[in-house]
Amino acid sequence: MLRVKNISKSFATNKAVDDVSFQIEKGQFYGLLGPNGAGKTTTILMISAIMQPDIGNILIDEKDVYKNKHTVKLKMGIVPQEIALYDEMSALDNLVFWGSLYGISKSNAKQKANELLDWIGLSDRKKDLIKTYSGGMKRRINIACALMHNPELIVMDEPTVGIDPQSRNKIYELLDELHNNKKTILYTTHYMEEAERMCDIIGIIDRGKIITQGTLQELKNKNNVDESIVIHYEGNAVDKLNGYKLKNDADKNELIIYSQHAKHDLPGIVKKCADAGITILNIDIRNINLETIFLNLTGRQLRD
Amino acid sequence: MWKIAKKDLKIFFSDKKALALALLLPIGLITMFAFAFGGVGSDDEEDIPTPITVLFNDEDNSVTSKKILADLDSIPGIELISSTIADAQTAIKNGDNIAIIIFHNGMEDSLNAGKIIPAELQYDKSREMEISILQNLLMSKIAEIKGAKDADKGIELTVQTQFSNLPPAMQDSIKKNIQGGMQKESEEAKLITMTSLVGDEEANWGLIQAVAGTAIMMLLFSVSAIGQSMLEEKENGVLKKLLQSPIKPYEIMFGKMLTASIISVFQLTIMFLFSWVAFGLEIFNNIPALIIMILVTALACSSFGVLLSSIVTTKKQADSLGTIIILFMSAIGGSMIPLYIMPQFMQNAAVVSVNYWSIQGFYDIFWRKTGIHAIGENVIVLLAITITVLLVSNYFFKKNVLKLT
Repeated sequence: MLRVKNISKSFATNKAVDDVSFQIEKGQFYGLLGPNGAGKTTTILMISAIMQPDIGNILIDEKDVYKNKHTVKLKMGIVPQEIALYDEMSALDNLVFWGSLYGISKSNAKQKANELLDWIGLSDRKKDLIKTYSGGMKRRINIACALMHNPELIVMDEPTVGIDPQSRNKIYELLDELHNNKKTILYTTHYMEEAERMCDIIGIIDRGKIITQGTLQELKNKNNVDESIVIHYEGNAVDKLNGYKLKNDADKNELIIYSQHAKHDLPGIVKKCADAGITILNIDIRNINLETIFLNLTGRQLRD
Repeated sequence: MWKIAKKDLKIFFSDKKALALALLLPIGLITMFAFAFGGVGSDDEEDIPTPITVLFNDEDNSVTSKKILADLDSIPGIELISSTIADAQTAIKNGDNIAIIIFHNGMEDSLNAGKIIPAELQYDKSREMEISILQNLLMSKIAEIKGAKDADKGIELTVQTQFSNLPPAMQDSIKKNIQGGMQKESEEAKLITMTSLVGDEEANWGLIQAVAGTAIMMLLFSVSAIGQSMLEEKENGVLKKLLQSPIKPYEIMFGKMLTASIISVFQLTIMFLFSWVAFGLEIFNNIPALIIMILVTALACSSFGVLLSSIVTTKKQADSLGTIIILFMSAIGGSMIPLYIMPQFMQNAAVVSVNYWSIQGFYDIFWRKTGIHAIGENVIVLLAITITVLLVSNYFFKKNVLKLT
């Protein structure tokens, strides 16, 4: 469905996107995960045909987006990071307006808008002005606007930024439904939980480059990351524990011990700690996740 | 308290362009009004005002009529041109000239005989200030000659009756002394016939000036606000989303232009209807011409709204620059003060202003009550301004507005 081939984009001396390639098959949910400023939005702008890459090309259904702007735009529904709605118009009018830009007749647009408002759970407030909505409601309308023309490819640029967990969960439900209906989705986020929860394929982007991509399991397997056992202690700890890598943060009274099989190694580690005279307050096992993969690959936290 | 002030000052000084424009506005306005009202620049030798062109028709062709005309022509600021009465009347009605002086046959004889003088000043009432000056000059010239002749007769009679026994040389000396000490009495009001050729009793040129001038200035403020909505859309991400849709970028710009034009037509129509109802401004003399003028004025003003939103990059800049452009165009274009009281170079500069061409067009319709042909030049110029401004706007729209990062 979407093939991004070796695209790069620079602004003055800053290389915002550097030789990025990935592809999304029909019905796949692809997550582009990376911290702020990693190049996610620039990539989206190029895919949505409003910014031309310096090099490389982007194909949708084997058609170059720059040579077939009109055709490919009709196939795409874009959910921008900003709440791009008209505050002084009602939800229904906003949906009908955005639908009309895709050539939908007024009556069809109204019908589709009502269906979508029902789907996102806001049909009872459809005539209220957008400015009276909460942030989470606006986010849902933002998504619905992109679906008015029933696009084949849905591109979402951090659609859950700045909203409360409850509203976020509501959006996750909507996205799950789209995924179940075999919609092709490109989703950017800096929340690893979102990528882990929803995406079939995850590409991790940092400083303009995709540093790894694959399914969650593939990422875990190929990035050789250890699980960790986090021990909070009282008194003094040790800097070495035979057979294990560890990191002692004396300020936090926190000892992080790395292991490939944390659950299996836990009893032995507890015994060694007791032998070393460490008073353990609590123990936490941290499994491999995207955060640890990102940390392992870049040496930085995802939210740095 | 200082923290709040410090933060606000930091924000205020952060947008250098907006700051420069904010300072430029009062400086520009002070300069402009200093030129208009303060006589600044009037000592400049190069700034010799273009003379008022006055037409004349001398049927009398006498020594006296020629002398009066020659005296008037010698005054700096007045230039007399001979014309037929019919041509002159047409020119005055079309706004090409302000007045004609007509000396009918027998003017000199009537003056000598102390009868009513067959002299006329036909004029355009809307040029009140210039006509008033011209009338005073003309009357004083006539009165000078008439007064001199009347005085001579009186002195002659007095000397003959009171000093007939004196030698002729002494009589002459007495005549000269009396002439020197005599004050001329003015009967100027009765000397010539004043006829207004343009505007009827009901028409009020001051009202037309106020309505047309204000309406166009307010219109520019309205369309600049519409133009600024494009910047808001850029700032809140709506423009980006519009560009991601299948519509073409130029459709966004022309969509804004269309909105501004429709609102402008609506606003102008309401303003003229209000003036008709509230002040009795006669707006229905020539409905087709009025519709055309409203349309082209709306287009020209709207194009400035689009230009404004294209050449600036922030709303703060748009606010300052918008006010500068609007107030300058309104001031030099005659929205704030009638054009003819401004210095010549400002009158010359007025032609770059939408206000000038629109106000003159509405004058033609409401005051001169001319046909569509008379507003042809205004319509063409306003359309040319619209096209030029849109071409410039399109360039800056691509350069500034469509630039996403």
